[in-house]
Amino acid sequence: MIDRIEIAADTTWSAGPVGATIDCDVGVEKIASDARSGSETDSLTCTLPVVLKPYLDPPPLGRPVTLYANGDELCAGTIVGIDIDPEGIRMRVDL
Amino acid sequence: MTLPLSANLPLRTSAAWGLFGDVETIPHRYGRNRGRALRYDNTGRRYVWADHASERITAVYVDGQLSRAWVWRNAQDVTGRPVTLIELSQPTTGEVSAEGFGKINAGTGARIDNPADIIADILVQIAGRASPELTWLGYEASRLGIACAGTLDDADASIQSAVSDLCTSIGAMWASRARRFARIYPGGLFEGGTVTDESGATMGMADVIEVTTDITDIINAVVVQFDYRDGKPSQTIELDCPDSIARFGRREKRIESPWVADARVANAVAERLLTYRAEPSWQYRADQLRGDVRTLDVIHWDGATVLPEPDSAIVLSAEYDPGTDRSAIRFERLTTTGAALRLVRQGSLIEAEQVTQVSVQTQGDQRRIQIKAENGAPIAKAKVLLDGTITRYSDAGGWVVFPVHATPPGIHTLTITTEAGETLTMSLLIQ
Repeated sequence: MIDRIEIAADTTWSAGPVGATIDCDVGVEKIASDARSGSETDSLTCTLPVVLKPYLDPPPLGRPVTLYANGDELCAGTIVGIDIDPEGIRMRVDL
Repeated sequence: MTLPLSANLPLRTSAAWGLFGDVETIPHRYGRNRGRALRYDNTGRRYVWADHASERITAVYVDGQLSRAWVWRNAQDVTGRPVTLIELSQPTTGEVSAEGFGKINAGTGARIDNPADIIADILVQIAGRASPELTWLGYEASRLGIACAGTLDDADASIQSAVSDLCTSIGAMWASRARRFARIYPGGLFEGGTVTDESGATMGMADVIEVTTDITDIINAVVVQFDYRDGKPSQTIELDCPDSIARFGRREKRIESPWVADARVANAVAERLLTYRAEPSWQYRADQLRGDVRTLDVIHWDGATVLPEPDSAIVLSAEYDPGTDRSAIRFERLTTTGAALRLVRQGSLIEAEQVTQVSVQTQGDQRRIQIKAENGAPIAKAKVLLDGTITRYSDAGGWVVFPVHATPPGIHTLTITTEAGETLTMSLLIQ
């Protein structure tokens, strides 16, 4: 159960005041890991509600992101891609 | 019969003249060009530089040595076709090459170096296809100062690959079904905002169904290889965007530009790419657009969406269903970077046999430029003309000195005349 996603803000990307919190449902679609090939980095895909769309433009590509589950840090990585459709947002994170 | 774009370029071979040595493809040459001439007959004196009339030949080399005993003319070969013919005073069995300015328009006599004119020449004059709509590309190239130079001499290359090579060289996109066959993208006049917005289809909120962004689409370092001679690049230019590299890591793109001979054009290709690709872009997919929306059309946005809103854009791909009269398209929203672009390096291989390296140092109010041969030896006592105005002579170390005020940042032209009387011209980019 993912309960928090933190995206590091700086002068090149900020969703609002630094330290701002937005309450919404977040989740993880999949966490992929493959030791057989060095060409693909381990990754996960977060799911976010589409209402967060205004905060993702410009997109925070390259920003560090940390996922927390049950209050503990689950993993941390870098945002490498964002897909948005009317159903929601899927954010790809390289771990 | 019309040749498909996938067919090989129908280039002639020297077999058309009878059997005098190996059968080779007779090249078509455009713009400022240098390359090997083909032996025309068994006299050892007559050589063909190009399979068409050319503007002029400026220098002829025999086994790499500058020759002074030659004449050239546009002539008809034994089949009645116009060719660029070089006639040497003395017969030779060595390799003959020449430099000059290539193909001219048969009607006007003007040099063909606008990319739109070259594409038209390839498709119409060489491949015998119908003339596509190239007015826009011709206009953009003219406004942006894009002049091309290149050679068609690979009979195994398809018509499509020839057009693609040219478009890639200058940072253009093309599609055979497009209403405007090709356009500069990104960084063409539409995005540059120097012309009134083009008319085009309008899409609304129901049409955009998906939008994505990916870090791999970012380009923040560009290496352009250009000024090809006999199939090999002789100059390289590299630009990057340090601010973008700091934020997203280095993401380099290497561009082979066999149709670019000028450092200014190569520099502009890299600049356009960095300006529009160094920041993240949004990639859109839209569906169910009414009518036949085609690749490279302009599409305007009029509506609201829960997705990041697009701007007016160029259609990058399109699928049209004639049964429903609906189109599905892909396009993108680019963000121009306001960050500084940096010239990382410019390397020159001017003459394989002669000058291969030019390096620049700035000391106080002087620019010290060193000219070296391929083997690393400095070229002494060379006459160096800067931008056609200031002449200096290199010292024993190959160094020549110009005042800084005469060499502000930008691209300059050096005309180097060696002690042996051989003249070389190169572009030098000073940061």
